[in-house]
Amino acid sequence: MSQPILQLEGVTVETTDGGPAPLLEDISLELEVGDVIGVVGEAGAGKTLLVRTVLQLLPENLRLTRGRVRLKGTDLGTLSEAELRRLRGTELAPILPDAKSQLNPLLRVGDMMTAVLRTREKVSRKEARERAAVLLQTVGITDPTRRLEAYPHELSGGMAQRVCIALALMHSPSVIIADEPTAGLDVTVQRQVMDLMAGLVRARDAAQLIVTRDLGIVAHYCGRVAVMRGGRIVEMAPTIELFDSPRHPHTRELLKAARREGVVRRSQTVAERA
Amino acid sequence: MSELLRVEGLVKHFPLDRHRYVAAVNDVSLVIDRGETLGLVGESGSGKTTVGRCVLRLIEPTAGRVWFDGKDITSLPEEQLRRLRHRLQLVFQEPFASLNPRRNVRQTVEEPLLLQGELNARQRLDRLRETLALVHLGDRHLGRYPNQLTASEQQRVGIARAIVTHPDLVVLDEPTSSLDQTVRAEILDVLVDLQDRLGTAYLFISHDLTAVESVSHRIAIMYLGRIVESGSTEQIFGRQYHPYSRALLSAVLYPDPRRKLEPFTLRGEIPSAINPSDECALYGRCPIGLPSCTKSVPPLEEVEAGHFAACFRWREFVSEKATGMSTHVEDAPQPAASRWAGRDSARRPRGGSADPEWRSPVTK
Repeated sequence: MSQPILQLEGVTVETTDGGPAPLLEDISLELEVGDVIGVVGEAGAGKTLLVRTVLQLLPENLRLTRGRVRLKGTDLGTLSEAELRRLRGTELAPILPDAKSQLNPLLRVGDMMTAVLRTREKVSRKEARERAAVLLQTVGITDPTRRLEAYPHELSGGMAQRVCIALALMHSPSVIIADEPTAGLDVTVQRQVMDLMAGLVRARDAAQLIVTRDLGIVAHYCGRVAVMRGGRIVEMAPTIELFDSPRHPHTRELLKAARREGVVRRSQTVAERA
Repeated sequence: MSELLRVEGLVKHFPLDRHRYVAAVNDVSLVIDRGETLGLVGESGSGKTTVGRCVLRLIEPTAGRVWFDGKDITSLPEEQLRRLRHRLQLVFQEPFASLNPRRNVRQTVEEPLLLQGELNARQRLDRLRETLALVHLGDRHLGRYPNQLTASEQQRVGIARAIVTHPDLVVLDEPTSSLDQTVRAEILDVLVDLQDRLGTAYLFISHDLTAVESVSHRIAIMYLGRIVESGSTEQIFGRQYHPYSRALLSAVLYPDPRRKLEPFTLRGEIPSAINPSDECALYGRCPIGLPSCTKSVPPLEEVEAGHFAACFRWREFVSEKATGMSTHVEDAPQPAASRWAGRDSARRPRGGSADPEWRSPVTK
């Protein structure tokens, strides 16, 4: 068994002013190369807080009080802010919802991408641009040289999310953390974006954590699923097992709501009507 | 079942400048019977919301006619239209944003009754209570303000406001899109239950195909301002005769890991609706498109009784893939009385499909 890339061990997050209950409690997860794990739950379950904990981007008034987050064995809690900044965007790549608001509206796509590339690597502007164009092609953007000249407002939602994915992939991350990566996108675009990410994770020996409230995404793109509620993981299992035999009542409730069991309305067939 | 709403040749163009316009809706025709739900499906930019707004005449169509209960309301003066408003209502996508934060539940839900002006204070309170009960809210909610309600309660208040006058038609514009799945299930249940009790017809506008499937009797699929396929819910989910419909349905991620995903067949993204040319709008993205598809816009053809598709190549499309693609059981072909055949259905049963496979737009 290979060593996990990302490890959460009993992660607990509390407010600094001594709020009543922990916001995250005793969360443990492990991701190995090639793993895609889904975290599902409703609004307020603590999904996004989990993402921020992994990225070590907790708001001022919250603190990791117990447990640790390890990336390739290193406890992220022991790193300085400068070292963390180097990790985010290289080893740990976030993909966040509402891609358009993640992009600087005043920068052209190409300028943004070359700037990001040149913060980490000593490459000429020209070479950076060429690599940016290749990356845009990788994420399925046709006519990449033209898109490098575009401002974010000129992109569709799906295109903007592809640019964000390209930015996240720039430094060949080993873990991709995707928080509601397709929220607000049409189903057809969602399908294209999810297929794209799955292919990239496979091709690059990375691992992925997908945080979503959509059980359809989890069913088709994740190997294992953690169900969250009230800051805890209430159930975790391989995807097929979780869908076949959910154990926790909240998992059953989520599945029932997603499947809309028993309320499917059938119109009469033409033959019955006649 | 009698016809409640008829839309014919609806066109809505938004001018950009002297030479350019956005063709939001092009030649859309549809019919909704009393007590029936028509699901109007499409991606963002397909024109489905514009159709809903034109039907209610919240915006004026560029061309086409809308008949409501036999009356042409396309050119009805504003003042007469206002008297019809209580029979034609709307539920919005964003529950919180659609409620006035300074008005409590009672004020919000009672307002349409005050405008209608038919009931006295006593009768209004009775109607109010009865309506709130239908959406599972009680007296204790009457004095609450929107910020004191959950998202589900907010949307149920939005629905109560729409149905309090017992309208004949409610346009539901993405009523569940911004909600959690358990809340979404609750809202859909309430809508189905209301329709059973009050006989309200719905125009259910959504891009959420699983929601549309579970509440609609018939479905129309829009792409770039046009209806490309329509039929009964079973027909549409059973077998698609238009390449766009098939791609759209194959993109749906059902919460079932055992159902294998079909490869997604469309290239690129939905094109611009500015000054479209007279060709099949899917050309360029279509897996079976031929240069001849650019000569004109394909008309809606009846491909089986009550089932219409707008593709020049639908015969080749279905025969190419006829084997192993569909769980649809062939209905005996019936001669169609008219273009609108298939809509004149009796009360259709819903629910209780024990076989989970039947929903499958595609199979393994």
